[in-house]
Amino acid sequence: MSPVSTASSRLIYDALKASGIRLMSALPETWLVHLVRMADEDPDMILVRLAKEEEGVGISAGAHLAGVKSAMLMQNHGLLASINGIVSCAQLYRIPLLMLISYRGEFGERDPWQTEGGAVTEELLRALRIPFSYLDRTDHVAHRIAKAQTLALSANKPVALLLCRDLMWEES
Amino acid sequence: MTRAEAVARVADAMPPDWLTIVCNGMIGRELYTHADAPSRFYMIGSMGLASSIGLGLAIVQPARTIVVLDGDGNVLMNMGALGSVAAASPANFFHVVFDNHAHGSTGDQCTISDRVPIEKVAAAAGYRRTMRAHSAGELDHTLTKFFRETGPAMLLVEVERGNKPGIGRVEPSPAELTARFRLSAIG
Repeated sequence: MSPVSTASSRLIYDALKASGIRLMSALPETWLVHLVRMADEDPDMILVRLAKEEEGVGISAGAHLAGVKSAMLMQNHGLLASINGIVSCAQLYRIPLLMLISYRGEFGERDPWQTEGGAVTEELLRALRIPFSYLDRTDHVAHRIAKAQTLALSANKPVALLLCRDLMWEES
Repeated sequence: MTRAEAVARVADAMPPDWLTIVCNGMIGRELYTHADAPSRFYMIGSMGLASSIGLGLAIVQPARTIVVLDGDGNVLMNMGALGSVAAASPANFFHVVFDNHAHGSTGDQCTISDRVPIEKVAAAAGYRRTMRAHSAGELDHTLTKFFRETGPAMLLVEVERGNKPGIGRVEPSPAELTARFRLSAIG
């Protein structure tokens, strides 16, 4: 069994559906394995598999231009790979963009290849003026996702939720 | 054939209700100057991303025709998108690439498309159809069938380097472009 939490992934997925999300673009990473599978198995969800995360910004922009609500699933290193799309497409063109970002490299991280990206994630979001919050406990997942989507739609801009180890990973 | 002439010929083959995403740079300015319409969305930044925007549109609007007008520099910058388009395989996705082997908006610095045939990359990635037009006559002939058959399809149009003097800029702000395009796409 993978220590990635199925129950937390289900909570996140159901909250995304409840927020009206009909399309998800994703580049897999370990913590996102169940979320990507849930999207893939759901006949009412369009899953777009990306070669690189920045494409997802464009795909969400295209969906928004056609009136469809979407979300991006990616790792924080994928955020690093998406910056110009976020700034010069989503922010410049006033596109709402709900980003769910697995927050690798924070306290408890064992993989040395995740630590550098983890160390810059929050400062990067602040520098980009992207409002963000954390998903680190099951009891606030649903309302934080709903509120993040509400802000993305009212501000017409990108917002981020950081998926944290305490929520996503079931080993201590 | 100049790029502006090629853009005009392609635009004249597209009814205004088709949804068009145009890459950043001179191609968008040439389309805007020749035949603007609310259904035409011009990128002024995020180089490379026009094809991804078009893919998102094509997936959620399968009943509409989606055209992406792109340049060789733009395609090369987001080449993975060719695979994403091919994998999603939207039948309503038409990709026109104006190829002058150069970054025409910044002073004609060379790209690598003289050695990397972009339509062959698209074909290898899995586009259903790809074509190349070498001349104005060939472009007109190709256009009669290009948009009629099933996508995803790519038409690469060879064009000369150089910019048309006095070409206009895209006037609406990005937010205005988003708003008016949404009206024509959602309707």
